[in-house]
Amino acid sequence: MRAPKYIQGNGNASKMQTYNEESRVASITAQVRQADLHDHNMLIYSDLPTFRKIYSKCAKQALDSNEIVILITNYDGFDKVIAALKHVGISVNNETKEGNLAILDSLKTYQIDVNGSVNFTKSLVTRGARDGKAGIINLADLGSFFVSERVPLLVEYEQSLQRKMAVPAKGICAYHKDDFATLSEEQQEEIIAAHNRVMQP
Amino acid sequence: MKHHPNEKTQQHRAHKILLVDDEENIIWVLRRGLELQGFDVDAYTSPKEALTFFKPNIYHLAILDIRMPGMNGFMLYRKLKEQDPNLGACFLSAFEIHQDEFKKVFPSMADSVKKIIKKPVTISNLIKEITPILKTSLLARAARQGHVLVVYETPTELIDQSLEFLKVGLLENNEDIMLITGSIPKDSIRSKIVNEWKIEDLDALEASGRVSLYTFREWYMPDGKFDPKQIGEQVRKKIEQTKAGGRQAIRCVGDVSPFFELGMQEELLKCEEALGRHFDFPFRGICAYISDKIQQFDGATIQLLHQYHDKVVGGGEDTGS
Repeated sequence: MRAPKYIQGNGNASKMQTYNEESRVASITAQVRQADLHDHNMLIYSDLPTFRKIYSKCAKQALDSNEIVILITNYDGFDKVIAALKHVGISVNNETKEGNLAILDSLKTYQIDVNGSVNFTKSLVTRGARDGKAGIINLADLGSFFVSERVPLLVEYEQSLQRKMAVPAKGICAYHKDDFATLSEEQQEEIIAAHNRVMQP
Repeated sequence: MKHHPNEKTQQHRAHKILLVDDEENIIWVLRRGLELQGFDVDAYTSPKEALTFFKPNIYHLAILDIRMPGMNGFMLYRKLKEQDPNLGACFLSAFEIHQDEFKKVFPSMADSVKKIIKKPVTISNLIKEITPILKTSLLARAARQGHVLVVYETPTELIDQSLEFLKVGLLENNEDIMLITGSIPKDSIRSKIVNEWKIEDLDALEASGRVSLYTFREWYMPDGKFDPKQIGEQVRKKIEQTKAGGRQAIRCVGDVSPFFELGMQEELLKCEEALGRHFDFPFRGICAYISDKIQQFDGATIQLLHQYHDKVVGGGEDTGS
């Protein structure tokens, strides 16, 4: 089993500081673009404005590529998500009506039923194939596990998905760096090990 | 009572608020809006920073965003309460959540979270939402001081806030509680206690003296006439009963509205003077006034009331004397 790619440490951090923000966001969106179906990837974002740019650009490129987009938000309210998507040229109303875009609340998606996201994604797989969609991308902020203080459940959930998910979709689990920092070293390692690739702008 | 804008600003002058939200624009808007209304606001975008610089017993209310990276609003509140058990809080969220969902996701917070305010919120709505919680918090602080005068806008507000204050005494602080009701019948109060506090054995609590409910006439005029000495004796007996039961204090609210309705303002002043500021036993007493009634007193009488009480809360006042 190959080790996950995890960019971390002062050396890398200082190198990364030489990139401007746009290029860092572009680098992440390119990595998301290159991901394969079934990939269970992880993103550790430093702040909400950066994450906003990442999820909106990833959504835009996925929709332009005829994919279905599931955005699961935790810290940004729906109004903020919609504004960010519109800012990159997404017609949110049309895409939502046509079933190409779903914006969900992380707390309700994971904390009422931990498998809510997986089940929802599965339900879209059949429809996506029928409608000739190129794929599904699920970009989910898992911050709700921290808000509800259910970290052991988070670790269990991430491990249940494994690095290559059973469901044919691209999965990106997003963590705010301050949330991730609250985990023990062991929990961090367990979560990282459950992912195919770890991205950090 | 209608306030001029300047009066409102004055009303909130002494109220200090801790505001924590990770969104800078929310902080900027709410802080500025609250400050323009006279509140004194300390605002943080980082919950950790808010905790680091927190000083107990200076804030009247905390307004906390629920979903903040690194430390959620509920966790922050628990940590703040460890340092300041009387701190009241309301919470902000950009998301709607139904009560049943809330109970499922946050079972430990279901009883203690009084209010979740949906963002975005206008300043006028925010103030409307926080006012009852602010008053409860002010009461909790004031009640440590003994004999407190509180001014309410309406009888409904009086009874709701008073019950909230008494509930904390009975259920959290091992105190005996006592309510002298004005216009609201005792059975309605009993029904509220049973249903809202989820107490099944109220009869037993009343029999043991843990909960005492009196009408105005039962407490102030038991023999058909007002006698301050007799009231003093009743207080003494109540204290003996509480001590004998091993309880820590008595928490009491008296609705004084009937003094005004019966034209007994002079008797009320005698009673307030007799009670005075300090009690030998922890007797946390609130004299509950309705705003339009206390305004019948002239300035000199109001000044006397200030002298008879340790603290005056509400009606544009929040002063320790």
